[in-house]
Amino acid sequence: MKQWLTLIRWIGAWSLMLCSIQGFAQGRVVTGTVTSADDGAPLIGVNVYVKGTTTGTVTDLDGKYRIEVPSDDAVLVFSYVGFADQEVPVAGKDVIDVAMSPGEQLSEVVVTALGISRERKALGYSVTNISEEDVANSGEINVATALQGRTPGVYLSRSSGTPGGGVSVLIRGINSLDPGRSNAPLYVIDGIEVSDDVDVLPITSDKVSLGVAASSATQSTTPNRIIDLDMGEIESISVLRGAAATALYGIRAANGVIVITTKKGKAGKPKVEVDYSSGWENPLKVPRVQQQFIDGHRNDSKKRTWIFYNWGPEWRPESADQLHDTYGEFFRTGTSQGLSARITAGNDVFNYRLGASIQSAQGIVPNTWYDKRNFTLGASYKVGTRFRIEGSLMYANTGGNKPHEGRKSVMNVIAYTPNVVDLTTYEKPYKYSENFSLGIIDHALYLAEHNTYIDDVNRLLGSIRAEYQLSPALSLHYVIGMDGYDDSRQRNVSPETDEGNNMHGFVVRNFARKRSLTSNLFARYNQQLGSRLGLSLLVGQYLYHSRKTWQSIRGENLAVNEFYNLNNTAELFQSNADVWYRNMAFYGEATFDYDHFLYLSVTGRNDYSSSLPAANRSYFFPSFNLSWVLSDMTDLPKAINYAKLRASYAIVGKDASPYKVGRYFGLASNFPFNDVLGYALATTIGDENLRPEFSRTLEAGLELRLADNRIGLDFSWYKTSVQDMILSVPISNATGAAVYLTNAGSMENRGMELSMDITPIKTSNFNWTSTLNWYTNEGKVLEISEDIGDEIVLMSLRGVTNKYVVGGKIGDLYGNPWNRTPDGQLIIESDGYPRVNWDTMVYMGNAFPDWVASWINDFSYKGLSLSFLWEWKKGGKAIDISRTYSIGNGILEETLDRYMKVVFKGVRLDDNGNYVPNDIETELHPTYFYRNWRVYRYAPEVYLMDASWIRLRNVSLTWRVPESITAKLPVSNVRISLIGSNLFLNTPFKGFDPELNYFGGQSNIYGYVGLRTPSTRSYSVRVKLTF
Amino acid sequence: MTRITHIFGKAWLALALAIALPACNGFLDVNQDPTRLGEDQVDVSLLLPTTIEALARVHYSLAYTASQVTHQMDAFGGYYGEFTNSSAWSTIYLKGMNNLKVLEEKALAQGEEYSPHYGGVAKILEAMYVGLLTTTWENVPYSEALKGSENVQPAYDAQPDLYNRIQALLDEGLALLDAETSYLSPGSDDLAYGGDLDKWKRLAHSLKARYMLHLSNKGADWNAILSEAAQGLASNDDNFQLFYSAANPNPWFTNVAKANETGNFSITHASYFINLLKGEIYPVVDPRLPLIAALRDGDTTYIGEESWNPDAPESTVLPTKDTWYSTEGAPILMMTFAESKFIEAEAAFQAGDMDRAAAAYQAGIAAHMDMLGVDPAQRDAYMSHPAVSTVDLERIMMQKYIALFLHQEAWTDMRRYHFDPNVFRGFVEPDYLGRNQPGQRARYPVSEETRNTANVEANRKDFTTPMWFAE
Repeated sequence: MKQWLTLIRWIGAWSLMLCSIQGFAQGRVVTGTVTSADDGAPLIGVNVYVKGTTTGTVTDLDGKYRIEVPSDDAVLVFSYVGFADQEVPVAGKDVIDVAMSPGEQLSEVVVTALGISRERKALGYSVTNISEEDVANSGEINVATALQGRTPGVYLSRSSGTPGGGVSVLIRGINSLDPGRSNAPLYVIDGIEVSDDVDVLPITSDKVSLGVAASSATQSTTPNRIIDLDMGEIESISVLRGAAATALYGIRAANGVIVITTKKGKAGKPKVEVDYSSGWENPLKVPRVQQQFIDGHRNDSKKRTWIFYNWGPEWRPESADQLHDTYGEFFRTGTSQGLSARITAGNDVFNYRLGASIQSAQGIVPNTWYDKRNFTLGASYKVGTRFRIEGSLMYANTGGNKPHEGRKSVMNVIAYTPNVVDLTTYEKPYKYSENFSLGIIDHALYLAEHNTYIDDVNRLLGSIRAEYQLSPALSLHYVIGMDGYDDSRQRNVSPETDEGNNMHGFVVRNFARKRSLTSNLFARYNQQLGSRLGLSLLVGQYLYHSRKTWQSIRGENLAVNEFYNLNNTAELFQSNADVWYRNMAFYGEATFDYDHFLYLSVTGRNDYSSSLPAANRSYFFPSFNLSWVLSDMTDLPKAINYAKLRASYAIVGKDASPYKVGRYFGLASNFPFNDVLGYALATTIGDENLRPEFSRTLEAGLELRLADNRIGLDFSWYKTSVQDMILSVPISNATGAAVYLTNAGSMENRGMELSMDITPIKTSNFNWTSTLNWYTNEGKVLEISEDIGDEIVLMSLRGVTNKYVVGGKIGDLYGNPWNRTPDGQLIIESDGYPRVNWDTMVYMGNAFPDWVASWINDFSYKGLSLSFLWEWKKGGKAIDISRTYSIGNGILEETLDRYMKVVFKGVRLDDNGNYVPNDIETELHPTYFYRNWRVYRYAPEVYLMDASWIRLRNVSLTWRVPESITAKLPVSNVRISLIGSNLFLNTPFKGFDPELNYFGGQSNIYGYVGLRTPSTRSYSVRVKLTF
Repeated sequence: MTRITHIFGKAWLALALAIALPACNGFLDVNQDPTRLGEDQVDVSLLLPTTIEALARVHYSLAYTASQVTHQMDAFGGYYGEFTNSSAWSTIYLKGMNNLKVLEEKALAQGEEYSPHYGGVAKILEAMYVGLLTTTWENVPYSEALKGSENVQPAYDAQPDLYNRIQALLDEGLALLDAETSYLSPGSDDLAYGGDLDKWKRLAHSLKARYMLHLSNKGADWNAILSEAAQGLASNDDNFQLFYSAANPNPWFTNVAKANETGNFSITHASYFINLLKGEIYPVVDPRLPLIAALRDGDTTYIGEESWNPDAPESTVLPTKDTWYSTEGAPILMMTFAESKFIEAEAAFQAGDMDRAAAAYQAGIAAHMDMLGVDPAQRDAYMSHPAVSTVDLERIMMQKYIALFLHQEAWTDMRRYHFDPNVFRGFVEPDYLGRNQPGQRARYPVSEETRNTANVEANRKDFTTPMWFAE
């Protein structure tokens, strides 16, 4: 609650205002000034009314009011959002000046679209707020991960356990069936749209095949750009999930909005905060390496080819080979350090804030690291009582060495490395052809030390916000801001590694740059239309411009080994892109307030989008939301402190990605060819009559507070259907194109979200609050253009296919089953093994969970506070693609049954063609069983597993050093925190933690994990000093 | 203070106008990709290189599988299964024929920029694409193809019609090349012939002969073939080929030679081909053997791969960065003088003109050996060996088979003669995993199965069912 009170002070008194209520009573006139007890500043728009009547007024720009009271024994009530109500008896006075103190109020204030703070009770949709403290105590450096478990409806998946790894956020599921479109939410910081792009740039050479489904996206983790934001500057986060909540943001908010409010300067004497943290981390969960058999094949060790076979003889103590737990030994303990200093000071007219922060982390893969440096400057200037201007600049420098991931990476190598290999050291000079596997795979440590991928991002975010109070009822607001970053990356690939050997090493230099500009001009007007009816209006105009360019230069064939510079490469290749996008809109909102218990908001927005055909680029969509506060309308049983019903209906349009419409000729692949250029027609055709797609969302909810406000409940149900979906439809290549982009599908998301908070104990010394979040979301595929049949395949890998099938669900996974009889019995062939039916695909599960719950417990006792965050993901399947290697190569404990004689449970055909119980004894042979793709190797029934988990995501213990001690020190406040992440994990999933998506941040492919740096268990200590 | 606020009041208005104005002035007109050309900007000379490079790439990827069917090559990982050649399919339609269509439309648009020379070259290239399509998959989309979103499920044309179309395209190409004036004519953008239109014409004639010969089982006109061959390629200088380089390495180098060298084993020479060259089928050792196949370190005997045979000795041969066909800069051969000569030899032999058959046969062998750089003395010794100098159908086809190493046409020839071991002496199709017939076609790609299902189902045949031309 406290942060909201602070928030209100900077947002300004204009933000919530009830207008003059016409009074008809005759009698005495009382005047006065209302100020803030905190700093003596006049409060504008304070509601002043005569208790028990509808007579009232609001304070003007100077905090002054004038009200007629019916009699001397009247009582005046002063109420103002964020401040405790005050009641003052008139008692014959003509002048009543009031100083209001910030105080707890039932009517919570939340930040909504356009950064407008509104009373929660007036909203007809759900909004979740995440506090500064929750963000700080998450122990994370990426704000996206700080959302984890704090709000229902938000599904996170990470792409790597390395510091600086990418994260995908889905709010209320996937909203587009187009495999290439982002479903990521929009981030808005202080009114400015900021980039959370995942810039996957070309980092591979086409002279080496990395294998099926490997791409630049899978070969490294790419951070989502919101990682650049300084976590210490966050005051609060509002998660706007439904379409009604985001309607004013229009098309760019179709996937939900995360509104971040940053800390601002405060009036008062200079206040300095210093924050230090230090932490360490270890792999959370890795596969168990068998320690019984060594390399080779049966009794034959050190065979020339296929040396990665770990199917050899039993290890004997007298053996010259030492056994190694390859997964266990390879990773080191990761460490992290952070230091920040922030200062704020000012007075009523001018205040400022200055912050600097350095975060540094060293990952569990040797030679990986990530640094983040932030500088922030913010200032606010008030001109008179009517005009206020604020500006802020945020600079970030981030980057580090990302581990090579995916195919032929460290994680792939370990899945091939026999247990006799020591991964903590290698012989120098290291030669590809002389390594332990004779040039088939690499030594993991050499790979980690030499194949590096370093990014260096410089980002500047600048914004100006101005507001002008024309009258108590009318205000003008203007926000303009720029977000720009330059991302310079270098990838080195050694000629002595598998990926670099073909072209004798290569260097990739990538330069990405994005500039975006947001401009938002709007006016707000509040007017009481009678004794009970209030109206507030908002109209605005919006502009957005963005341009993203990137260049990629790859130099191959190093002249001097280990000298990684483009000057040292014999052949150069380049590619580049330049993407412009613009959007303009006019929007408006009208909110009717009937007697403070019934609120109806209507919004409308007309968008103009550059990426649609000119004839179709202007489009309008409305939304409606209704809030009905039963507890303010009528007297409810005493146990019910607050009861509200809400409902909304919203239509939101969405445009296409840039350059999808039109016929283009791009530089052809393999060109320039011997100094000659060749161009090729794009293989995507855009529909020349492409229309925007529209989603329609119906949402209903209930809010309750019970038992003296000790129990709170917030429930939402929603249904979103998307029609005329813009879809990249794969078409027969014989058409001359591979993909046709058109309005070609429809889908639906339905879900429920529940937040419940309970305060079991509340005493002056000890508090315990418990919050439960729970949600479920189900996306259904309703229609896909007949032109492409009834399905869209997103990925098919290792026998598991993630596809959209009409009538099916988003995230459905299909696989090739073992041959079975009609009654489901496993059919065993004459060799004693079952067979995978590679011609048939059956439904095998869904990648998304049935539901996700989180349970937060906060305890505080005097200066100590303890917080636990448990998360439970129930359901959802995944396949670990590294496991097909490590089992196929005899690396894991699961292969200890090798050469064992078994009889598979199932049936076999007898001589008469009848199925009889199987009695054929067979051997669990490496080649014929474990490595045989017809039997076991890629059998989805083996590798597709339940990826449910329960984990203790976060624990934080904070001790606020008592004043009795700090009084003796030159500090005013000392807080010491211990933070732990992923302290406990329980999952039926074998091998790695199934949380990491193989296909990387913001891909729409789910259900594949593995070949990613494992997630970690981490601990940190944090000391925060305030001077 | 009032003055300041007054100024700000005006500033708001100005700002509002400033924001609203660009909307009327093309603020939103930014949906043109600055990194790509529009249809008006793209020039025929920018499309021709693409279609030639794609054609060479398709020759590579089709030969990768065809050479396994013909037992020139064999895979380390096991005998070939039912392939689809999906990358060739997509390259043909998405990089070759679609750009050729634009090229033809631009070149042949009536008006000042009418460029029949480009149109003629494009028609010849198109004929070659159609030839590769039909000899790989038999019936394929052609007359309904390349219509974009207007027809997303194009029907398939039957093979006889496609062969008619190939001849018509070549005739049209020849006629266009005869035009005296052309607004633009190919030059250095012609990656194969550098703008030499006479070579293109000779190529067209050789191609006419090749595609007539394909119909040998359907009643070929031998004299017509001989007439076309006579106007065809005249020397190795006329070879229709694309040379690669260090920056654009030959795909056999990248995907086969280099891959084998770095432990990513793909395919190598098959035992049948090695046995043929080392004198086990005919009693003569072919001097081309060491130029085509390298021995592994430490090995001295040439042993080809026999992946279907678990008892076979381990192969000792590899295509490497030093063997002729897989050097970094090696050409992809699309139509050679040697092939043209062997076409002539076969047609003359079938027509009963033995002298002409013998002369063409000799010229074919010499052309291929000279191309490979065989020592002339060794060449002459080999050619005068009785096992070679005798001219009969078997020897013509065998020498053509060697000269068509890593070429789709070798597969077509074997199919025409039904893999007859009396023509291709010693050729045995093994019984492997329940299949004992050679591949006669590629399966339609999965993309086509799922996106053009009805048409695939109407045209799908078994992998081992001969095509119309090979019946």
